[in-house]
Amino acid sequence: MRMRGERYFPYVLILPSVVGTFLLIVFPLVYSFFLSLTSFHLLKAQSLRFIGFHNYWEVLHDPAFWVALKNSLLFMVVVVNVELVLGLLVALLLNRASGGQGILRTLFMIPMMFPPILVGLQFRWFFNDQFGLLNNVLLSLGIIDRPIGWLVRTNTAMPAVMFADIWQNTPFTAVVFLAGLLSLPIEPLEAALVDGASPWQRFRYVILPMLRPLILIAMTIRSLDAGRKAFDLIMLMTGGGPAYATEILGTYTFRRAIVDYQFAYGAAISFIDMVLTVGFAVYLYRQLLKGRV
Amino acid sequence: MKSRRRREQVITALCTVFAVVILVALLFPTYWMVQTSFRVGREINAFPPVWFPREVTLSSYVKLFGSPHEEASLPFREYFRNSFLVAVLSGFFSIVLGTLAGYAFSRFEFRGKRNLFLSVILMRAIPGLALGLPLLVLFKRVQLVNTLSGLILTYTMLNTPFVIWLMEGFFADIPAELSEAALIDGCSRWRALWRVDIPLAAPGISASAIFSFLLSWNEFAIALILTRTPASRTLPVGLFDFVGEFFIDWGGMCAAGTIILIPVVVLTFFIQRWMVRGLTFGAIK
Amino acid sequence: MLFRRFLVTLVVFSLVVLLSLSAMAQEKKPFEGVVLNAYFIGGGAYEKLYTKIPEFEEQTGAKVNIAAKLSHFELNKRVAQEFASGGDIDVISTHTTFAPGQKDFLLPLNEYLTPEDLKDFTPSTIEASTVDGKLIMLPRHTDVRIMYYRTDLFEDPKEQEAFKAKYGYDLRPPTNWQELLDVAEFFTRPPDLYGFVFTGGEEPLVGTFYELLLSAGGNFFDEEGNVIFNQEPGQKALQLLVDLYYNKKATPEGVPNYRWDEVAKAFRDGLIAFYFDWPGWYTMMKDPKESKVAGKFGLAPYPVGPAGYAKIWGGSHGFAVAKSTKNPEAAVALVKFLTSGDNLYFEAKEGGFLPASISAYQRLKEDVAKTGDPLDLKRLELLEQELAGFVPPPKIPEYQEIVSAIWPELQKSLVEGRDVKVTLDIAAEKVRKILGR
Repeated sequence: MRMRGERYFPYVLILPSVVGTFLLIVFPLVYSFFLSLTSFHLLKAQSLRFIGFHNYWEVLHDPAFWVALKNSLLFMVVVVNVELVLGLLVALLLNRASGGQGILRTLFMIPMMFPPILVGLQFRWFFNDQFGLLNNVLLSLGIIDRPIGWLVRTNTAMPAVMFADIWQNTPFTAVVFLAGLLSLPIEPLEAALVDGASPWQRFRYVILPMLRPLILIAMTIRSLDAGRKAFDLIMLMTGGGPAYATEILGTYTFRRAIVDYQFAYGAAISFIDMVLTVGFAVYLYRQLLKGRV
Repeated sequence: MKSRRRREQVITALCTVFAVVILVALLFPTYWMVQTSFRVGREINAFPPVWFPREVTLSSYVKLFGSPHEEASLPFREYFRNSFLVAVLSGFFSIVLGTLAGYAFSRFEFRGKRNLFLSVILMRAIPGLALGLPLLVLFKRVQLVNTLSGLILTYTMLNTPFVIWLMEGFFADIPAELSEAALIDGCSRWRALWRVDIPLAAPGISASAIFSFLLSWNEFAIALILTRTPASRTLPVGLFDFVGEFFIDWGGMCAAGTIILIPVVVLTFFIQRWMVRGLTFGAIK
Repeated sequence: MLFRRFLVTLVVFSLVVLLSLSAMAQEKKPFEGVVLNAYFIGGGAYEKLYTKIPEFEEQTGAKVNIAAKLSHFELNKRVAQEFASGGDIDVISTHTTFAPGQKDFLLPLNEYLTPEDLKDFTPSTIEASTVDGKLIMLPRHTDVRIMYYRTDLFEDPKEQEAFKAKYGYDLRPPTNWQELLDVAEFFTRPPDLYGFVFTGGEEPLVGTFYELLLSAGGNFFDEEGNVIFNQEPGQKALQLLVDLYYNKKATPEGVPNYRWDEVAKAFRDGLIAFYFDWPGWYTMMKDPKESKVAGKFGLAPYPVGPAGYAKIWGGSHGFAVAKSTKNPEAAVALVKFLTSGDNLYFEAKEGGFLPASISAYQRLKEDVAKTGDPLDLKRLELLEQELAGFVPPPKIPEYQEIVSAIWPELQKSLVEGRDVKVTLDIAAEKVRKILGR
């Protein structure tokens, strides 16, 4: 029995979402692109002049941009891979651990639900050169004789930030893999056991292949999140310093657009950032579709 | 055989021990932060470190909620209120929008249904600043900068696709026959939705609500750009300001951090059942 | 069962929403009279002046809403965003260093003030507050740095003996750069004591570098506006900082992250043998509740640079009115109130500042002559000397951008030891690009 207006029912249901998304997401992004084609400067009142792709040309010739890009990529690659491996190890461990699966899981999930800002705060304090816990412990154990400025040395700042991210997000991969491990079918494993396979062989040839789709999903989600969460983390821990050691695209955008007041330039950088990220997302999405069970 | 079983037991025991060790290591920085918030000033940065507080005090917390004209205190109450309002309201609106749309996607054939998953992923991919910068300029035109409403609108639209996706999955689990039965009995589509499907999807709605709340509660980059004053500044940005304003009041910072933590921990507890599903966009149930 | 659960959820949700909406509604109470939104510098002794604001509110019926109290970096960023997005902003804290960059958004005060109003201000501060012939801020107090040093260390006979044995001259607060390096090195005993400390990043780093650059006989630009800070004086200046931090490790490692608050706290906590700092911290330094070095420190003039003199970088803090204010009279009245002779005297007494008000300064000197605390007297003498010859940074609107562009480069030398000439050449190139030369 069809009622009048029923044909429109589904469209009515999605209309608010579509309109809202368009107004608040799509339109601003397009506007941002137009802004990047101007010379808009936050403090120069009449600065909205159209200058074409000049900003983009500048960005591509800006050494700091390339450093930030490199750092962004480096961060993502290292962090995601470490989290996948560590997460898998932890999941395997937890899988074998007895009792209290629910409690373990809940406690595990807490760090990954933190605001990244909070994680940044914790670790900024942890790595602090005057009273950070790390230096405190190392000093009192006599391993070092003067505190190390983890966040101010160019060769330790980035690892420190990566450490913070890994701390926060390994639980995510671990929980995902654990869920996968728990739902693995028993038969192939039992068959392998009967065939006399060693634990390593069982892992390598039975478990791992079955986990492949999960690995892909975890990698996708982590890769997409990495840049955004890293922004919050780095803003609080190092502000992008020292000397661009931890400057990623997000923090560089902020620096140019808000601190230096060069809004249009910042818009150009963020647009490039977005294109790269979205492009990568689409690529991962295609991979996911291919491997989707 | 017996030695094999013994070996299995040993391995299990070892794994449990390791798991506990890892758990402790994982939760340690958090434990340290929380207990620092209760520390007396002297002990906070004591060297060598004091592992368990000998004296407990609430003074860091008291200072946080002090009056605005007192020296060097932060409008923490306002930040908390702002974060709470924004998270609750944007969560609520995204639930409404998302549930309706999710229902539509699960029950009807659409062109572009495929693209739903893609758009959800894309939402996650947009760097905060890429959206925040233009919104700053646009909101200025409509007087929405530094308002709670501006944040609520933005967060709602950021969260909605995720909710749509989650709810689509939850609705898909509910057999269509149930609402069909209601239709046959004479209900309109709306009535059927309201009376049958939504109650059945209640767990999914709760889960989505909590996810949305947490996403808004934790958001930083956009809030950083769109808010100015305690009228609309949220907790994560307040924390960031802390580092400038309190210079090195670690007790205060840890107290603020602990307070920010509380809803997170509490709500995580409630949704841990749907955690994996939610975080992997329903790809794993 | 499920339906009941759903009902409960719905009720809870509605309650929450209702509560939230009513909480929001309560915010929209009507304001009585004029409301001025103020964005002030916060922290430490700066805030004592604000305790006088209720007096202003009572006198004028206006209400002052302090929208933000932040360190100047954070404050400037926020204020800039506020200006750009046309927010409600009436009065701000500013500084002779930053005001030229903000001038497009500041109300010229000469249209609202008479020469009578300005009589009480030290002329050099008014001069520094005037850009393009417009008075864009009223000065509050002037910052010039002096040397703080630990008397318990420098006057300890054992230390003096050891120092003389090692370096061949008497231990004293350093009078030139070589002595600065020697003394800093001598007193570095990590982790409890370091010889020196300085601000290793952002604008404070550039200002410190600027001061050393001037004392080495150089400058950012020459008379024609060419960039010259990468020449020899600049190299010597940067080399001093690199020697202190990187080569001799005579400062705490966290220096690149240290700003004004951190260096002052380090000295207050007894970690540092000597350093340079602003007069504003003096009162806190003397207070045994706040400072571990109360009663254990002395003051001395700056060491001279290779050019044979010491040029001090300084500037005046002050207040300005936003051009976009809807209540210019009220805003100007607030600014006048905050910078009145009485209030500046009050602030200087409480916080140890150098008031821009001539009458306030006189009263301070009289007070000190009466109490006769030798340290207070010495301090005022030193400051008076420096006030005569302090140098503000270049009053160009691009200064902020220049600072932003060069401090990461300077840090590269500090943190990695990159050759100073290379660093300065790169920095000079960046500055040329910004200025379009």
